[in-house]
Amino acid sequence: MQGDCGRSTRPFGNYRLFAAAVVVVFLTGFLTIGFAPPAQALPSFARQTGQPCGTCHTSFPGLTPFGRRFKLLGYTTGGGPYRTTPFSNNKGPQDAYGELRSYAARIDGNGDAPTAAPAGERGWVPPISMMAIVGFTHTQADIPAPTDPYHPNDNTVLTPFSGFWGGAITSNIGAFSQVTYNAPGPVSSLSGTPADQFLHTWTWDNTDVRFADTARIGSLDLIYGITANNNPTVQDLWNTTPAWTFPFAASNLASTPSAKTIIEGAFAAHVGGVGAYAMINDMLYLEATGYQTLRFSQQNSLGADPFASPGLFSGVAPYWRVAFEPHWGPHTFMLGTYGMIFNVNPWIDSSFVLGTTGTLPLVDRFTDIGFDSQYQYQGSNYWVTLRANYIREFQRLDASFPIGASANPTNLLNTLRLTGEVTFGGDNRFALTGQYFNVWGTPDSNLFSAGSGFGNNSPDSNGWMVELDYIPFGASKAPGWPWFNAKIGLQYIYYNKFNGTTVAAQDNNTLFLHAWFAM
Amino acid sequence: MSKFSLVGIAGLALVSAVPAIAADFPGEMPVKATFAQRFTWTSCYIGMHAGGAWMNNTVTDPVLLVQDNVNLGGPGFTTVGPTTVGVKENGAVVGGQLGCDYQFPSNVVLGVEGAASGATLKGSRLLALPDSPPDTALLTIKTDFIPALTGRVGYAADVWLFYVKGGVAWASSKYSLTGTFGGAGAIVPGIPFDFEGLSFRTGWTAGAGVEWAFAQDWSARLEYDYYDFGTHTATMNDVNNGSGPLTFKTTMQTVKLGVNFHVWGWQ
Repeated sequence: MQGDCGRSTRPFGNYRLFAAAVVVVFLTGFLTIGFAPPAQALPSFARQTGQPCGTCHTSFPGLTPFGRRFKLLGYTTGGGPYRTTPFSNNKGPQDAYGELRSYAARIDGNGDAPTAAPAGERGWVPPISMMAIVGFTHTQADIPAPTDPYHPNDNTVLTPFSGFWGGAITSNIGAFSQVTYNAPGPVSSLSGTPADQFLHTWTWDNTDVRFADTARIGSLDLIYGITANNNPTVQDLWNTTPAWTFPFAASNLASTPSAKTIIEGAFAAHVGGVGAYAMINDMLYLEATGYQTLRFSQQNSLGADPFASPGLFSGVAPYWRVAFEPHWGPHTFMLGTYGMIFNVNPWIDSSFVLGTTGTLPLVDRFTDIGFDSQYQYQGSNYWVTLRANYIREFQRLDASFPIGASANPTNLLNTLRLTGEVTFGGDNRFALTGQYFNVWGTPDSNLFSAGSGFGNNSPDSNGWMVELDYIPFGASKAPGWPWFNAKIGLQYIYYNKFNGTTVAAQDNNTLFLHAWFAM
Repeated sequence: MSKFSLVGIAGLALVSAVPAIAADFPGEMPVKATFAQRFTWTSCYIGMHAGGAWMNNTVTDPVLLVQDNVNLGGPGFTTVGPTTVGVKENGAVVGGQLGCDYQFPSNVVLGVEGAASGATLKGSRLLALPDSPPDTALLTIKTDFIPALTGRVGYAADVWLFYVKGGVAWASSKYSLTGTFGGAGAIVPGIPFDFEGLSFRTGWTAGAGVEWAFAQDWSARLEYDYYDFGTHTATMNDVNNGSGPLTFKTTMQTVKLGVNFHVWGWQ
């Protein structure tokens, strides 16, 4: 619950919103005239594949069937104007690539297929990209003072800014690796404890290094591979699972519900994992991955605040994924399940007042089980995507309960997200996305106390969000192809309940107007 | 690079040779202008840079912030007059840039560029608290992000470009003032303080550099930039002791080595 009593509210429209809109329009116009950005999402992927934005993405980074298979094949598919890897041109999984390119040709119904130079004719260019989001945030209530370096409300902020390696390393090995600057929160968000020294603005971000190949065993066509990554579900192919779920961009100044299941990012960038996966007959996806937390010093060196996660793993945490994706004509359907078991030794003192980075000897066990489904329909000049994701978390708090960190020895926590997305126009120039979200669970007077910002000792939050996106350079023959990309998004989040209470829940309602640039 | 040089040299040789041989050939001799095509800086580019940075901060008044705090020394306890101290930061900068240039027939080049640098700038200074000897306060400043939007004008000498640039820049900094206040032994144990502040400042930048097109599509450059972020007052907040202002006057210098990949043109 963000809402403090007595905070003033402001009318929705004012000069800062207008100023932000002017800035966004100006930047868009500037890029249109000066840079003529094209249609790709991560431009290094576009350079590598020679494909326009709409081949891989509905509303980026949301994936089409082609995008999912590009990821499945280890980010190694070539076909663009530049040499795919700096190494020898061994053929790699060429049959699968051929089918992918054939698929791309079929779905590019707009007749805008880029006329790239013959594949690999030009030299190798490192698959490096950059991304920046400039966003204007209006929250219904002001942020708590002192607000430096921001205004109490209506702020325009450049965050995040990222650098990427995105693409092939060899014909069978590729990587998506991200380093990110996140602007700090307001001064009032600092805890005032010694743990503040571990807050960072630069951090390693989503990283997924893959080996992929193809095989045929009897009547089974197989794409198989190995993934090494730092965030459970970052390797997943569908935008239902937490790492790549909607909303794809969010304000750094808006409050979000505090209670989340562990698999929803609690250990993102705090772990390393290695796993194996396979797609059988282009329909059944199987994966098993094991994760271990990095040491305290390693996390801190990589820019991840160790105390921002619940603790360190006791042993390897297993992750599993099964997804069944039949597709027929323009229809693609997925039904899946995934999950992870976390045995966590909690920090002894996450405020660092005692100066220790040790953990308790006992273990809290979190068992997260997710069920998800997605339906995608490809129309003549549009996509319709429906996504559903439900996560149920079983908490056995053998470490937290004895020391009073939780009032119950066991708890349940649930997350539900139902999302609908329509993209239309040349190479998905416009996107309209809506989502209903709900978090609910067992009341716990210690875990969800008033001092921690909850009401009624409850973790419950629910509401709606909607986003309208415009990708101004959707046409794949845009002059700048394949070097730049942009998306202008207007997002609004409405809360019925926030951190256990409906009282002042709407104080957290957020308008986020943002311009997303990728170079 | 070699391709451009050879084309340029060949073109020059051809032009030089024309008067001597013109009388021996019919007028329609196919001396193709395209053969002598000149190298041009007209293109857009994306690249990376790395280098060193030095930042000077003049800070007013950290001693008063501590000694005048109601929970520490309190009003009237402070030393008379403001205390201004200097804090120098230094460190590395690493980042990326993208921009576009246009070369006029006169070889004058105009361009615009957006850049963003991550920085490891850090500096600190230990300050005496005159009203509470032997207590001290440690003032630390870190700067971690420096984006800029600039224009540049230059003169092209074939594959060399000499330029000056200027524009608007920003800097994200974090300030802290920490220590223990014992009131010259009157307060036992001394009261710890930890004032924290943040800023995202806007200023101007000007610089100069030289860029060399060393291969097809590729160029390297060496650049010096000066930044002035003016004077800014930050709210320094201590969760236990309250908040107060500190004023920072800041300038910065950088030397960066960069490499650019040119997206269009040169083809």
